[in-house]
Amino acid sequence: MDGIRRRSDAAFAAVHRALASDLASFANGMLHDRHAAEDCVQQAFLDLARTAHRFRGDGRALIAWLYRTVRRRALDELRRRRRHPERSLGTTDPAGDDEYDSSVVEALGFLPPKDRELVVLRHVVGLRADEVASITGRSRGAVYAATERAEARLRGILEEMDT
Amino acid sequence: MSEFDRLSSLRVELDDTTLDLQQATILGALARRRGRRTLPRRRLVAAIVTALLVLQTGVVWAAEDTLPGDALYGVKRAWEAPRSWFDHDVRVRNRLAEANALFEEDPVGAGTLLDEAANDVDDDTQPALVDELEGLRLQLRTRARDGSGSGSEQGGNGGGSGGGNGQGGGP
Repeated sequence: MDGIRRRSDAAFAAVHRALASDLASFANGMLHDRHAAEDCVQQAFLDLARTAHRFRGDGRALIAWLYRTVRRRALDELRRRRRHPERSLGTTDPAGDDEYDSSVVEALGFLPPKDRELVVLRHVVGLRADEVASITGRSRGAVYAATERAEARLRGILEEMDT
Repeated sequence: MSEFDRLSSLRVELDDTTLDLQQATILGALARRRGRRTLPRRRLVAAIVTALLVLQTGVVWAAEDTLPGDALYGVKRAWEAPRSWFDHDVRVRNRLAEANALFEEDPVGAGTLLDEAANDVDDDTQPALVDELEGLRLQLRTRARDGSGSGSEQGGNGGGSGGGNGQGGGP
């Protein structure tokens, strides 16, 4: 953490390499747009570069900070897309739509952001409930309950889409 | 496989090229931040104000015992106005000290300073300072009179000697 506060190249490179893919997965789960997800991750680390000297906390706090920063960037992008609907949710990965299971991904897009982030953190990034709690600022019990509700809503949306 | 397992298709694994490109951008930003080496704005302002205060305090302290004609005498005079807010007699005290210092070598200059002190005396001036002022002005007047009327002093001296001789004779 001292390396981060001192803006050490080695410290930043190590943290970036360790977390970039997970952070990009989280952003992609929110945006369904890989390029936008990569941009969110890069912006989060640039934000860290600007404020690192003021950071107070341990490694766990740093991880939570990075996820919250990526979430903020992703939500900003979602709001921007709502103002400009020509850029709607959907897969824009140049690799092709068949890379995703489009039904569940499409259903995920209909969840409110608060529910979506819980489902993404648990089932896309693969974090434990206590890790999700650290990122979202909720208790572990609250995360369990909220995630179950979000999963139930997702199932309901999938059922509606199948009928 | 549950419906949620299919969400793993959203997972991203950044390849080395993408990671290297991102790191280059991030490390470039770090280098620019390190190169600036500037303090946060409010700390910079506080540091400048503190430095000015310390510098000013040092200069004022150095000017404390200066006399008319010294390089920092103007600083001493300039600081008397704000100091007078909490030290009513600072001007009178300073002029008296300066007049004392110049008394022997420049009695005319000392007299001018005493005149200035007299202008600053008011009902709130400490009586001890008023006494000292009057005493110094009296000494200067006496010195001036003695210096211009030196013949009368010498006559008196001669009489004294003559009387001594007279006393030497017996009845």
